[in-house]
Amino acid sequence: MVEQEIIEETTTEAEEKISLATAGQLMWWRFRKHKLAMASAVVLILFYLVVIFAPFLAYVDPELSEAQRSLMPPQPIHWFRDGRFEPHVYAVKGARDPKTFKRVYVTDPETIIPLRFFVHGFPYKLFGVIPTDRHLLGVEGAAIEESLFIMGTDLNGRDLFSRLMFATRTSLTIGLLAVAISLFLGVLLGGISGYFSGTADIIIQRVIEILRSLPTIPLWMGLAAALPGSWSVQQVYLAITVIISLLGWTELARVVRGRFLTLREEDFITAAELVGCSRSRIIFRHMVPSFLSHIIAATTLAIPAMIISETSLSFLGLGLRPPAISWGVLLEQAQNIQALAISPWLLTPVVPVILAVLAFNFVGDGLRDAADPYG
Amino acid sequence: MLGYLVRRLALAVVTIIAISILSFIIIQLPPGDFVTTYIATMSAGGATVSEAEVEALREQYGLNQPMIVQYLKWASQMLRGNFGMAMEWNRPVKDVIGDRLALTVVVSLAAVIFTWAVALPIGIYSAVKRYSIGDYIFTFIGFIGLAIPGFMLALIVMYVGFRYFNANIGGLFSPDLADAPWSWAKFKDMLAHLPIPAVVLGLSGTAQLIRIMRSNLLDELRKPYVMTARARGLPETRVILKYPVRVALNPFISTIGYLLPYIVSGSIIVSLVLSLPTVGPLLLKALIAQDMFLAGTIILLLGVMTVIGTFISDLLLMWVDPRIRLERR
Amino acid sequence: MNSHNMPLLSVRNLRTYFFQDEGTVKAVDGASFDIQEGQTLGVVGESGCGKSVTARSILRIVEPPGRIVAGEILWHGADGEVRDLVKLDADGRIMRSIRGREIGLVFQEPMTSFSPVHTVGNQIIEAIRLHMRVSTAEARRRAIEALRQVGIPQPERRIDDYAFQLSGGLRQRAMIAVALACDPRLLIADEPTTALDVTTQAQILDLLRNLQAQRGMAIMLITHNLGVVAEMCDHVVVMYLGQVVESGPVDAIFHNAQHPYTRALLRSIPSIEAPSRVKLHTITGSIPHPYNRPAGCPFHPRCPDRIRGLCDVREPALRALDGEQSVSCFLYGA
Repeated sequence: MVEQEIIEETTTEAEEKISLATAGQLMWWRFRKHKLAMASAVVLILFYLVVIFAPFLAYVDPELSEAQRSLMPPQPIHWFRDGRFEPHVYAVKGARDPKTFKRVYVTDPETIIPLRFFVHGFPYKLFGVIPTDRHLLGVEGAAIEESLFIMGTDLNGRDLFSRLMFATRTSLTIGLLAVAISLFLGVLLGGISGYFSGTADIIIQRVIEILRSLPTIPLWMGLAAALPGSWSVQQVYLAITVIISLLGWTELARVVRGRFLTLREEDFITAAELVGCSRSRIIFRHMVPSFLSHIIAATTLAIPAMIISETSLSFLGLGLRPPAISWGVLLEQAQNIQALAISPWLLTPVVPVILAVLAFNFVGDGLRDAADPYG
Repeated sequence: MLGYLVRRLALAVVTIIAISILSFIIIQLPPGDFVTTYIATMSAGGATVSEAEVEALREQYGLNQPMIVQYLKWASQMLRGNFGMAMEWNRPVKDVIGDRLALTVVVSLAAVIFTWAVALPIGIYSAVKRYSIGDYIFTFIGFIGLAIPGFMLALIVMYVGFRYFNANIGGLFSPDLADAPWSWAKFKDMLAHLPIPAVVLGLSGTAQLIRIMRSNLLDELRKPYVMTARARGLPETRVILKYPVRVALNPFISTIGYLLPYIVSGSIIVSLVLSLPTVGPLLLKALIAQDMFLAGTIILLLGVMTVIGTFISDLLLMWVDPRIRLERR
Repeated sequence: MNSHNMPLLSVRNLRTYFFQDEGTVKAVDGASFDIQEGQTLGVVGESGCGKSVTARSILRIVEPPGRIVAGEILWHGADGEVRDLVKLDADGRIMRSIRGREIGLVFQEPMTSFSPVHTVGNQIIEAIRLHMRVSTAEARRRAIEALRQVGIPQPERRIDDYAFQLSGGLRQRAMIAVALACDPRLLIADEPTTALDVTTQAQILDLLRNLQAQRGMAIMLITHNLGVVAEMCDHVVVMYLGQVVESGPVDAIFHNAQHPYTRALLRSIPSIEAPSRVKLHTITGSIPHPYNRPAGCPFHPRCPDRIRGLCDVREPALRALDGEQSVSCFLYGA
C-alpha cells in the first residue's frame, strides 16, 4: 500500500514537471530522444564552426594558384615517427614524364616536413574584424604552399582543403540566407492565406500550385544566366540567393497556412477571441508560439534543398562564379570525366554536400517529430 | 466530375500562361531588345540580314509597342509553333529542339516509370513490415537517395564506370548510331542505354515516393475497412493488395504532379553530366551564349510538357478514384 | 463431453496483450464466457475495457503488436467439430473459412468500414464468392437479396453505389448485409449503433432482432449502452480492464447485480422515474492507465466496498453464484 502511494507520488511529480515545462523545453526533451537527430545536430554545429573559422582552418590562401602544382594527389599525413607522436608529411617533387609529357609527382621519403599547430600564415580577419595570421596547421622548414596538400590540388594548382573550408562558408550561409528570405515570404503569404482565407487564400493557393508545378532548374538557370556579367561576387551571391528563395517559399507557406487553418478552429483561440483579445494579440501571443516549432522544423527541412540548388547552379557555371568559392564552384572542375578519371579527389566536395544535406534532413525530421505533440 | 475536370483544365491553362510570362521575362532580361541581339549574333556568325528583314522581325514581334503587346505577339507566334531561329546554329529553333525534346520526354518518362516501379513495392513492403530490418534498410537507402543530388550521383556513376569498368556510361546511343536516322536498331540501342539515366534521375524521387507510399499505406492500414475485409475471411495478401494499397494508390498517383517537374528539372542537369542528347545541354549552351530566345523557348516547352504530364495524371486519378468521378458539382 | 450440449462459442481465460515500446497493455486479461446457439449475449463495459479486442481475438484479426498470449476460444463448427481458434493459423484456410462464413462482424463505423474505392456490391459479392461455390451472376443475385433483407430500398441500384453515396443508416444496413451474406451462425456486432442517430439506432436494433428471429443465429452485441442491452440481450457479460467481472442472465444483472462495478454502472444510468434535479451517479476515480494496472482486483481503487489487504493484493476469480450468474469479487468469497 505504502509502496503504491510512493509510486503515485512520483508519477504526479513527473507529470507536474511536464505540465510546468515550456513548449521549448518539451520539444527539447522529445528531440533529445532522437539519437540520429542529435548526432546530426552535432555534425551541423561542426559545419558551422568551419563556417566561422574557415580562414583559421585553411592553411594557404585559397586563391593561390601555381601551374607547377596542378592536380596534385592528396598527401597522407604520418602521425608517428620512431614511435613518438610527431605528425609529418613527406616532401613531394613535381616532374614531367619524359615520354608522355604528363606531370607526375614523386614523394621523397628522405625529406621529412614536420607539421606544426597554431602557426603564422597568410593574414586574415577573424570574425571579419580581428586581424591575425594564426592558422591551425603549418609546417616547419619549408614554404607551406609548396609542401602541404591534405586533399590535393585542383587544375590550377590551388589547395583543395583550404578552398573547401571557404566553400563551406559560402554554401552553408547561402542556404541560411535563402531560407530566411523564403521563410519571410512563406510566413507572410501563408499567414495571410490561412488567417484571412477568402479571395486572398484562393489566389495565393493557386500561385503556390502553379509554382510547384514548374520545373524549377530551367527557370533558375534562365534567371541566373540573365545576371549581368559585370556584377561583383557579392551582388551575384545576393541575386542567386533571391532567385533560389523566390521559387522555394511555397512549401513553407503551405505549412504555415495549414497550421493557421487548424489553429483557427482550436478552442483556446475561440476563447481568446471571446475575452476580447485583439487580432494582432491573437496572432502573435496565441497562434505564432503554438506553431513556431512546426515552422522551425519546416525551415530546417527546406535548407538542404537550397544548398542543393546553389550547388547545382554553380556546378553548371550559372550560379556563383569564380573568384567566389562554393561547393558547386569546386565541383565544376569535376565535370570533365577525363579529369575526374585521373584526379578523383576533385569529387571530394561531394562528401560535405551529402553530409550537410543528410544532417539537415535528420535534424529537421527530429524537430518535426518533437514539435508534434501526438508523434 | 465535370467540375473537377474544368478546375484542373483551368489550372493547367493558367499555369501555361504563367510559364509563358516567365519565359518572356527571361527573354527580355538581357539589355537591348532581342531582335538586336539576334541580328548582332547572326551577323557575327556570317549571315547577312537585310534592313527589310530587320523591320519585318521588329514588326512581327511588335518591338516598338508596349510590353503587353510584345508579349501577346510573341505568345501568338509561339502558339502557331513559330519558335524563331536559333542563333548559334542558324537554324529554326524547331529543328534544333525537335528530337531533343522528344528524347527529354523519353528520359523523363523512363525515370517516372523506374520511380513508380521501385517505390510502389518497396513502399508497400515498408508499411506492411514496419520496423523490420528491411524497412530500416530501405529507409536508410531512401535517405541517402534524398541527400545525393542527381548530378552528383551521375558524376559518381560516371567515375565508377570509367574507373572500374573502363566504360563510358554517358550518352543515350552508341557512337555509331548517334547520328543515324531512326530505326529499330537505334530504338533498341536507346532502350539499352536508358536504365542508367532513368535510375540516376529517378533515385531521389523514388526515395520521396517510398516515404509517401509508406505513410499513406500506414494510415490506410489502420482504417476499419481493412479489418472488415479481414473479417470477411479474405487471405491477408489479398486484403492488403485489394483494399489499403488500392486506396493509398490515389494520393500516390497524384504525386506525379510534383514528381514530374522535379524529374524534368533534374533531367536538365543530369543530361549534362551524362551527355544525353536532351534539351538540357542545349539550354545550358543557349544560356551561356546568351541566346535567350532559344533558352526561353526551351523553358516554355519544358513547362508546357510538365503541365500536360500533370494533367494526364489528373485524368488518371479521376479514372481510378470514384470519389472524384462521382463528385456532383 | 457431448458436443451437442456444448455452447456455440466458449471463451476460456483469454489473454490478449499489446506489446509496445512503452510497456505491455493487457487489453484482455483472462476473460471467460460462453455464447449459446441462437442466444444474444451483451458485452458491456466502459471504453478501453477490452470488449472490441475480445471480438477481434475471436475472429483472430488482432493487429500487431497485439497477440493472444493465453486461453482458449472453442468454436462449435457447423460440421459438428469443436476447434480451439487460438491454435489455428490466423491466415490459414480453416480460420478463414470460419471468419466471414460462420462468424460475421459488424463494426461501429459504417462510413469507414467500407472501402472508399469499391462499390458496396463488390464487397458483398466478394464475401459470397469467397465462401460459396456460386457463379458471379448468382453471387450478385444473392447480394441483392441480402441488401433487400436488411431493408435497403432499390437494392438492384444500390448494389453499385459506393459507401459514401449512402446515408449513415443505409451504410450500417449494408454492413449488416455483408456480414450476413454467408448466413453466419454467430454475428459479432461491435457497437453497431454508436455512430448513428437515435431513430436509426432503433431501426438497426429492430433489424438485428428480426434477422435473428428469422435465421436463429447467435449475436454477440458489444456496447456500452445498457439500454440497448436491456432491450436486446438474453445474457450479459460485464467487463472491466480486460476481465469479466460479472456475467448472468439479463434480468439477474439488471435486478440483482452483485459486483460493485456492475452496480455502479447501473446506478449511473439516468432514469425517467427518478425525481428531477438529482445529481447523476458517477463512478469515482477513472480507469487506470493501461500500463500501470493496479495489483489485485483491477477495480479496487475505485471500489466503495474494497477490503484492504485483500482486494489490493490478490486477484479474485470468476465464481458461479446460484443459478447462471457468476461474479468475480471477494465479497462473495472468491
